[in-house]
Amino acid sequence: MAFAEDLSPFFDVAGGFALSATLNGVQVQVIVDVQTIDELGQLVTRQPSVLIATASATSAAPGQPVVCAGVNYQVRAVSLEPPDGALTRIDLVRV
Amino acid sequence: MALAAAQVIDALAARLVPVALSGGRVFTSRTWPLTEAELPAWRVTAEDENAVRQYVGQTINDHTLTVSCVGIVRAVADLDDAMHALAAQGMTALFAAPAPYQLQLESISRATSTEGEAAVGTITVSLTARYAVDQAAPETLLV
Repeated sequence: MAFAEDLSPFFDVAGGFALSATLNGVQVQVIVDVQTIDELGQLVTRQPSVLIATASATSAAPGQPVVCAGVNYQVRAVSLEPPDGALTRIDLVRV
Repeated sequence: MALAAAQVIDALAARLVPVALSGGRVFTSRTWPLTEAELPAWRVTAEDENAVRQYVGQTINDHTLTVSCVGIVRAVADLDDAMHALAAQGMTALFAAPAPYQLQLESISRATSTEGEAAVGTITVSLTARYAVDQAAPETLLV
């Protein structure tokens, strides 16, 4: 019998494990990752991305707006996370 | 006073200060990364410098200094256009008559980031400047 994992605890906003956001205007729950990076050896900037259940991001595509924690982003890339693609990482750019 | 090459760098950087798009943000001595709040901006640095003696028995050399003027921009859309617009304004300022030090454009190169937010680009205007200096008086530009 196949193992069916319940991902909702990982994206429990009330429990503080995730944040509410909108993806292309639709309410979703995401885990935000932001780090500082050095681009082209010239500039200190950021690398924002969100982790989201793939079931909630089936129509995610580059260019779509994302709003999270009062910050406006645009989807830059959408990629499935290993090992099974149950989670999706959405790379963002601040607009 | 400073080494002749440093004076040349400062003179070229001063020409870039009035460039509208970069709002006076021109850096010549900064080696650590810029911040987003400091963009668009220019970095002006000396690269190679060659010296050739003018006449036997004299100590005056003809110097050829390679200068890199790196324009740095951040744009979520149309990054290419933003880079080119900055370069156009910068070159207009650098070569405004009379252009100093026999200034000559050597090349224009571009780089865009594919990491992070992929919204940063640099456009490098490489120039050569020529001037004469007595090697016994390295801080005196003889034009």
